[in-house]
Amino acid sequence: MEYRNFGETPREHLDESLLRQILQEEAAGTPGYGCRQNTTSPRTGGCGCGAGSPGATGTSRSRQSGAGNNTSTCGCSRSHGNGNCSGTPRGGGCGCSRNQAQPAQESGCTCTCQDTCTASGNIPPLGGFPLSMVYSPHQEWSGLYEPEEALAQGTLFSALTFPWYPSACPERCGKTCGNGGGNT
Amino acid sequence: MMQDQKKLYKQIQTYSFVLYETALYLDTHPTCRPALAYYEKYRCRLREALEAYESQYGPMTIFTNQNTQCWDWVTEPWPWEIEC
Repeated sequence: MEYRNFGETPREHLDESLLRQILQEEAAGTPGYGCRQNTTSPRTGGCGCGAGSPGATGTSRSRQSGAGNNTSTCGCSRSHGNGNCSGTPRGGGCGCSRNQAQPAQESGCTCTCQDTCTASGNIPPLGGFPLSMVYSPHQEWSGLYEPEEALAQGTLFSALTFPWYPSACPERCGKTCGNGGGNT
Repeated sequence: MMQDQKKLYKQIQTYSFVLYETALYLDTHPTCRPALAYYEKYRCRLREALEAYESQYGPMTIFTNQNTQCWDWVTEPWPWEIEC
């Protein structure tokens, strides 16, 4: 799509019709979007790291994983560590959806990381957009709780009531994550 | 804590909360008249509740210690000593 060729902030270009088009593409799961690494470096061996031989990865990151040169073929710069998911993004602990209980031993990889994409390849088709550009409806002064209820809900605005409940960590880190709600 | 004191304390909590919420809204909607009217309404209620509480139970902040004979701030119960 043309919008992916924008070299600058798309603010001037983004109107309702374009946004609708983007969302429709995302909903349809248009192939070819998402994991850019896959286009140049298909995953092999299920390790999610791009390649099983030195220099065959498509990543531009320095290769730091593993204990020595022979183990740095997967192209990842992160590792699972001791199984905790501290300091790692969502989706399996280090950018992939692999179960952390399954260390990758296949294809010479020593880590289960995948640098730029999730294993599902389910990244929205917004490749040309800057990171962290967020669009939100303008809040309206309506749907107010009574003050006592507002205090109990953690927000004055009923439209902002999004309760979260503690649950098992989706990263399988073994910790209890989440909170009791509240926002604004 | 006496029942009346609890009730006033809860009112102060409640009015403070909705005022914070409204203030956050007004940060992005500074000319929203209904929000401004709502803010003014609960600003007055908070002031009244604070005056009623402090006249009977002591200062809520160090800026409202009115006793010139005793530093009530340190002799009143701390927040963690107040049962809600």
